[in-house]
Amino acid sequence: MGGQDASAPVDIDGGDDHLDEAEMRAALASLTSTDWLRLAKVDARYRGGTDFRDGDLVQEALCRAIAGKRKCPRGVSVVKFLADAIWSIAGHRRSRMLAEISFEASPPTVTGEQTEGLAPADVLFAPGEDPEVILAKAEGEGAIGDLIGLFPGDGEIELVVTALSLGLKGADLYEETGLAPNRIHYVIRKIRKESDKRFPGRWTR
Amino acid sequence: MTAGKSTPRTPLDHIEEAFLDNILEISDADLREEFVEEGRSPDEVVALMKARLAAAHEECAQARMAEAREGLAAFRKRETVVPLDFALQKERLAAMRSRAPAASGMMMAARKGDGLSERDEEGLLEDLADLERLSKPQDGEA
Repeated sequence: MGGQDASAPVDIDGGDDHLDEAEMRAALASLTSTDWLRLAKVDARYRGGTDFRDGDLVQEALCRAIAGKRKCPRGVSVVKFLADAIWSIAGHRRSRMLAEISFEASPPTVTGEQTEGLAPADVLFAPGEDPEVILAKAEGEGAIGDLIGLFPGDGEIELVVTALSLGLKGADLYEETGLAPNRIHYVIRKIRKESDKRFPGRWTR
Repeated sequence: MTAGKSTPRTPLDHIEEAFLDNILEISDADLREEFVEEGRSPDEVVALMKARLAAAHEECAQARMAEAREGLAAFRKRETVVPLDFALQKERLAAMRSRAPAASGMMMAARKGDGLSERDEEGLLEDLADLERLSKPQDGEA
């Protein structure tokens, strides 16, 4: 369920536009420690709300890449390709779990009505609420408001979150916010880390 | 950097994409620092990830073996099994002997004049049955 998914499955032979099996194997063999740390971070971020364990998403993405079920376009970093695959696989898994849960008659939750800050797997068991409604709510403006609310009174955070929510990036983002690239990256990292701590798994789809 | 077919659909997708890009762009030092803050050893995490790569290769190899086995089983299932009709093949062998006694003599010569053993004859009959099976058109053939 990634945004610009560079890892979309390819049904036909990718030909010269995509890495072939030997090239993919070579690319995987040459991943650096930093690359692996990035993938571990992506795995940790997106397995929230799924039944995947630590490292499962990475292995699944690697397996699909090796088997050629997902092909990496030439010119796209293999790490970016795998990260998109992880996001996508987790999103599909989460959607499937939602669909399974929606057939149950609103099972009771051990966590009761208080669902703030819980992973989707927990939120879904809020009594009486339709999972689709919960998902839509999580994606809506309320969720973005909650994100800004993590940093009360911080105008810079609000500005960056608002600009990002409009889809601005690169030069447009710097111009709209009036912030330097380094500062923007710092702010985004700050929000990401805080949301990881306070809303584990909630900001993923 | 991206070349996907889909585009972000919601404001949250845009934000999530920015978070993902941030993970992919931060420095090695900052990345390691984040793992340490979470109480994890970066080196152990790298080792875990490399083990996952090895496991993925193994998983793929096993999946390919399973596919190959399934393919072979399906191929064998498609083969037409024709029961061996010994009586018919014996008649054909007798007819062949009567038409070409020299050939039978050669076989006897090879066995120092002792003639065909029972096993030799069974082998010949099976060969004849195979020839007949091969000469019949298979499913889908004209």
